[in-house]
Amino acid sequence: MSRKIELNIPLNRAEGDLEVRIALEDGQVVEAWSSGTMYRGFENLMRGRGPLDGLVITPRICGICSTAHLTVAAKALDMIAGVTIPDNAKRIRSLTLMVEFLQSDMRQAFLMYTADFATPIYQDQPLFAEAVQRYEPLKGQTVLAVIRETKKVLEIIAILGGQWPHSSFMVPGGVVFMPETNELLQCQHLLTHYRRWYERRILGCSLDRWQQIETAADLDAWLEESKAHQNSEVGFFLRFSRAIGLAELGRGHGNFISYGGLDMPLETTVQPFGASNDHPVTGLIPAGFAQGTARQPFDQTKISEHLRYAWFKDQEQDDHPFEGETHPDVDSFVPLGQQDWAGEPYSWAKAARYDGLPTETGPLAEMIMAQHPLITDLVNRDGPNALVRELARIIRSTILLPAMAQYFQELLTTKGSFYHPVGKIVTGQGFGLAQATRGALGHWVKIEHDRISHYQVISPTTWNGSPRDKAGVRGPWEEALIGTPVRDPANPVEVGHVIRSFDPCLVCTVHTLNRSPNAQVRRLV
Amino acid sequence: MRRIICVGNRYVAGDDLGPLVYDYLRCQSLPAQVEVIDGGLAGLNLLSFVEGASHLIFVDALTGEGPSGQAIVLSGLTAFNESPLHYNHATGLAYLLGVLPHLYPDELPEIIVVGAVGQVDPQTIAQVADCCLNIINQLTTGG
Repeated sequence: MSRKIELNIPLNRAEGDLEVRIALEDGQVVEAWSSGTMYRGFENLMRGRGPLDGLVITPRICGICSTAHLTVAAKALDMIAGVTIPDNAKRIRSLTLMVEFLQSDMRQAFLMYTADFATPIYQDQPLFAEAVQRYEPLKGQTVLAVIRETKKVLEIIAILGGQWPHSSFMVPGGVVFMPETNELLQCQHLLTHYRRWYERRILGCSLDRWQQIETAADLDAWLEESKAHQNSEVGFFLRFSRAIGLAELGRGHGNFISYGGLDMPLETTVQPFGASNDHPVTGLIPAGFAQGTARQPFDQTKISEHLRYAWFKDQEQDDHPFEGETHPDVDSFVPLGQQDWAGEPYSWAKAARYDGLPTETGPLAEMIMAQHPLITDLVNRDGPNALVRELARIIRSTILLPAMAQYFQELLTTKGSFYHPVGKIVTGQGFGLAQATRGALGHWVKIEHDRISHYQVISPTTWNGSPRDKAGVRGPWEEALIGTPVRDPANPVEVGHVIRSFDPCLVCTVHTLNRSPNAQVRRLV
Repeated sequence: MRRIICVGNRYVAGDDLGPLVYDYLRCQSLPAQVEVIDGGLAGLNLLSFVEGASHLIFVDALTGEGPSGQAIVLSGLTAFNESPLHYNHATGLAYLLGVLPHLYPDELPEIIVVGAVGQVDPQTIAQVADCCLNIINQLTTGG
């Protein structure tokens, strides 16, 4: 007789306000519910404010991807103002956003994701001792190296944008800062330093050698080629992940969305990825929707948000974000632990859908839209899974770093404006879309009588961590959990592997220092 | 350089001690070679302020056992809860204090945490701020 048990799993290490409930039967996940446990309501905070206030307030939505929120807030206002920003402004906006990708991808992979490889549940694995040496929280060699290097590379945003996170240097029409030559040279130096570290430590080879890997077979050959490859972070990640069967976890619906992003200057030698006659692109990262690896042109009018299983009013609503509202229904809210998850609302996250379909987003989606040869081949061979989702994140820097170097060179050698004047924004509507570190991020804005009358934000985790929609169809990572084997219900590490491969980000939580009972009290005053 | 880094969220009651002490200290006369930093919720991004400092005083709200409303001084390296500390998007002072000895094993500044448990009122803010200044003065005079 099969045995069915249900578990509530707070995923506080990913974020402080995500809880996943799973039902296990015969050691496998047979049902899953994902709950965002905190209401934020930034959309309502924006109403009635001045048109430019989103440039200051919305970057505070997230301390990890604040540049991405600033980017789309500015793009929405660009659209309303009817302005095309100058090439140099595109370079600065893209460069700062790409730096945010560099730091977030490395921290997510090696401070958050692989920390699970160093837990005792894997102590029987032959590679366990090395995993602990690399990934042990606070002490692991990789952990410390990533903290040092990502701290340095973030200085580029501080130089170009004044601070990180929560900067507000993008405005409708461009950017407010014109870097001097010495500042650009400093940025170049920081980027070169980072690239050398990334090549040496993360890849174990040059970017040029890595770009030669176009198939799963090429990847296997690369891994066998040298000790440097095997001992690199990518090499060790692949060896450990294969040993624990990571590619067998986290399949999901197989639908992918990318809003595209990193808008290309009109005059540049940087080449966009994945452009073709039937799939023109305007940014370094292409927009699109794909089922499997078959991509289609992207149409933002097909986006909607379903409220049936969220704690919001108007539960039959499935509107486009220009029409959708954010009205919390406190009467339907049931505290955690008291919820009847079957048939009742269970999340503060809405259910974002594309053409009515649950759709995942993130680096894997970007790589599919770019028709990245290796990632496309891996997905065609094995289907989407936790390993390829995480690998796409770790190697995203390989497509960003060459473009970044070229943009800095162009900034040094190209004279031109960083800002096109924009008149007062009194009325209109617009949207800003881009790929943030975790995937598709959009702001939809309406201005009436010099005030914001409507603001809707759909973040990447609204896509990936959505609850069921009005048809009862699971959200992306809910679906990805189905079939996941769980060896120890008391420590369902496999569930963490699946969820964290999506890089969840709900919001930051309040934290105070928890004083240790062993703390050394020097004196009381 | 000696730095007083005040951390916390000024908009959340119970987590606002650091920012309120920052406001207080900004109105005080500080010795030379002392900086007061509004560390907010910067977490790991405070690493830039660690480098080049001889002494660091972190000011933060404390939880746990202790006399409510009184300034408490802790040795920084034992101030955090010793349960495994994982990085996440809400990583704050505890993670920073945990990782510092490993990041800077040979050049770690002396670290002190000054805080208070419980309700934050003007007397507590002044007491915590004065405590920071007393420590700075002792360091300056070698006391």
